[in-house]
Amino acid sequence: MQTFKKTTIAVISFVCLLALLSAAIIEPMIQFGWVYYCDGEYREKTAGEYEVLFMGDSDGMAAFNPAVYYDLTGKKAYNLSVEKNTGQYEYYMLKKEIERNPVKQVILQIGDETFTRDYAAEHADADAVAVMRMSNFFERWKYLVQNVSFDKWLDVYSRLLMRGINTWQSVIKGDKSAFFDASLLGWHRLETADCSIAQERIVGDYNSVELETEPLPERVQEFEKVIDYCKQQNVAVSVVFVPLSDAYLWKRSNMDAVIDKIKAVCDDNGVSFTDYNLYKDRYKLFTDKTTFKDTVHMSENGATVFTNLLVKIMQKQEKGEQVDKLFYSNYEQMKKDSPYMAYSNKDNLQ
Amino acid sequence: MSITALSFVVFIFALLAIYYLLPKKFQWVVLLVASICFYIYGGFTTIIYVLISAACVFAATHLLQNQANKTKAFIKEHKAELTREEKKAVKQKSKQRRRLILTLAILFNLAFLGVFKYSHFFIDQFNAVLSIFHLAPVDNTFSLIVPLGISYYTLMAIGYMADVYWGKAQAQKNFLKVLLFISFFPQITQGPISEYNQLSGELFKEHQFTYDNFSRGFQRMLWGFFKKMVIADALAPYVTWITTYYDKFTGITCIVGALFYMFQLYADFSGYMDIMCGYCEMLDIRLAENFNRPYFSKSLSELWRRWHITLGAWLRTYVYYPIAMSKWNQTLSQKCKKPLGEYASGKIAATIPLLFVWFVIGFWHDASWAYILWGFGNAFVIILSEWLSPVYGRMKTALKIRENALPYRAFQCIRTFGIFTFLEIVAAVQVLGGNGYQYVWRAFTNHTLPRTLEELFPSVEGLGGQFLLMLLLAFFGLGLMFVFSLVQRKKPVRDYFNKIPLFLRIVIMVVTVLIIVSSGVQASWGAGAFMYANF
Repeated sequence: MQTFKKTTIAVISFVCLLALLSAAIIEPMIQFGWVYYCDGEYREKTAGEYEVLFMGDSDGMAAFNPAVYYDLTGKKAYNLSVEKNTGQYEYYMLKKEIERNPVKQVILQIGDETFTRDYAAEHADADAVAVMRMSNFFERWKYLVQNVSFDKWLDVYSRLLMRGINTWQSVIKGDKSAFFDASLLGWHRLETADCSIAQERIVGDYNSVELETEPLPERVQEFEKVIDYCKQQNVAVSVVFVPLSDAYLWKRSNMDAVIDKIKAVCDDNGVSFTDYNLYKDRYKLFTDKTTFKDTVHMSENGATVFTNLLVKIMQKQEKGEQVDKLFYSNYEQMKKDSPYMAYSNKDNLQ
Repeated sequence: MSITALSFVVFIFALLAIYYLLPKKFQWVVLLVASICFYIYGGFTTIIYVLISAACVFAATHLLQNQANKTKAFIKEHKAELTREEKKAVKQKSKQRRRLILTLAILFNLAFLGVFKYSHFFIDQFNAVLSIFHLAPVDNTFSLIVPLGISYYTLMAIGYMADVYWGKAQAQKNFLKVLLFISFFPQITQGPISEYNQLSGELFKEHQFTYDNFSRGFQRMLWGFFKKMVIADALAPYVTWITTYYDKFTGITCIVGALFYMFQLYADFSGYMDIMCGYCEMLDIRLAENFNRPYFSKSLSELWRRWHITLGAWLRTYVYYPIAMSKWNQTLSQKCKKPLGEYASGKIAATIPLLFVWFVIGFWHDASWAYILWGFGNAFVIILSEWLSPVYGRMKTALKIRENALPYRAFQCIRTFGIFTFLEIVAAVQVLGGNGYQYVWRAFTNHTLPRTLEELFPSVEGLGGQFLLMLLLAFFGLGLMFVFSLVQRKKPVRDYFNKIPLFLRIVIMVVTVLIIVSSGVQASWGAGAFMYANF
């Protein structure tokens, strides 16, 4: 009996202390909004105010500025994008938001790897971020139980602990730059940095990276689940590909093949797809020096320019105007006008 | 089922509860069911090979025991009638029959091992011969899923059958108990390679729950997880990076890479042993130890008595001594006595079985020439030091070197570690597809000094700053390992740890869990499975 009592006390003390310390590391960053995407409570408070939802990954999170969108259209929008988003997260968040906030429009941002990405290596980060976006403790467990397999809970717990520790370090240093800012409405504001390719690398970098093109069935299924749900709720869906830097696109050799596959999936599901990388004035509007933080994430300047362009194109589309003339028909054509062409010996480019 | 997965943690604690809640006579049954579940988790087909092996062992040991008993009974019954020669003839015939049963059973088990683990190697060698005669190669692209733990349970099965043959063990009458011995899950992926008498004594007795076993076992498990996930897995990306792209790095970086590999190897393997021995301690089962501070060894032969101890013991008992004591080896030794002298003939008698043992060790580790040469490399050093021991003795006397002096012992440890590292890193780089000898050559001939810390510890492509933090934690862990190794000369670290007040112990263990989960889980993702599970 003594043995049993001693063991029970020790085990319970151990478990309680572990839970307490874990909570002390993880909960404050979520509860106090110490990370920019910990907006669960804010969204709960403001549910019902939004007419447009924007959903995507980190590219989308940086590219779409709801405040600019509101200034141009008078419609209140929220950017639900998150870094390393998964299809499960998209469905869960959109469903949750639409249920308490019936919207008219959802803009879905997809990237060149949205349909080909295998989440095996990244799921834990994606799920950790998704958990952090839930509004309360029970929501977080609900998301975990419904969307994350049991064996991956340890990975998610690990990611949450690391993020918690990193956040505490920032707080102790007095660095609040990553804190949640309600005025941004989910948009991730990034500073501008020059991501141009160094001149000596231009020729070598040209078409040096080949992307996977074949969509994974599970990614397509997740996408279709989102589209089907939006259709059931009479929500209009537009699919967009936000601008990436010229440096990024210069290196990718088979963007046309990738986009063709994405277009096919969108066509099968009856949703429009607009690739803003092919906008004919892209080299004037989206320069590597002034509108990007890095090769794939737009800076604050870039988000303003893109959101303006998005509104302009969407308004034309709503009026039934033809916008095809405003876009290149493919990446091969687009690259011929790239500023990098001027610095490279065309004969050396294959 | 991965040992570092949450499902495994839940599995073992659920098993622990059921094990102690059920009546004691069913405890071994619970372990058997758990072992079968562990196998089936990896796929139903994996259990089939274990069942076949266990069935073969059960049948063989029964036949061996029956044959021995029959012979004894016959001789006893006809004691008065039989002459001495007749009794000898009966015993000889019985021995031949038993040897045949044992040989067939061993070959049957080895055949499975040969097919699953070595078929690609044998076909490659066959194709190499065919290519000499410009003949078309045999297809070697088929894939076979190697049954979990086959390298380990095959050795245990052979050892058990040999023990019954020699009369050291009694044949187990219960097939399920034989199955448990073969398939006991804590030892299936990386050992220890247990002797039947030792393990059966532990498995089939009744076990009482004690707080002491529970807490000490848990502490050891935690330390094992820390070694594997915080130390070994944090070093793994750097080791792979440096050993794959060694031609880009300075000599000193290559040396650092080799050292990291040795620490990774030890932390990984001994970490697993700590996890499993710790868990078995919670079950009141004592598994054989596999490590005894090997990097403090003063010679390579001593190191191999302290590294993977159970493999060495198995080979000594079931390979070395049978060959050494065999008639042909003894005959050869006798024949060499006259021309070469007593010293040389004695050494030859010891050298031949040693060469065979090291061939087996190398081949058992990996089906590749890299590891066969690794085995012979170890053999060469050990045999050379045996042959030259009188010379070393005279040199030490001439130089007035005291054996027990600390500087000399330190020199011996560093020398042994250096030789072991050389042999290990050559094989490791070869297996990765590189040239191990070029790696070592570069380590010692490239004298470019790294100008920055970044050049000394190069960033691994794709890994962020977080891995630098994990590396720092790994260094801290290595420091702890070193300190614990020194402390353990006198008594186990846990004895000191358990003198600390309970609350403080719980705090330390909780913080350890948090470090393992936050740093180790992510490091493990990149590092993969336990290294010795690949053998």
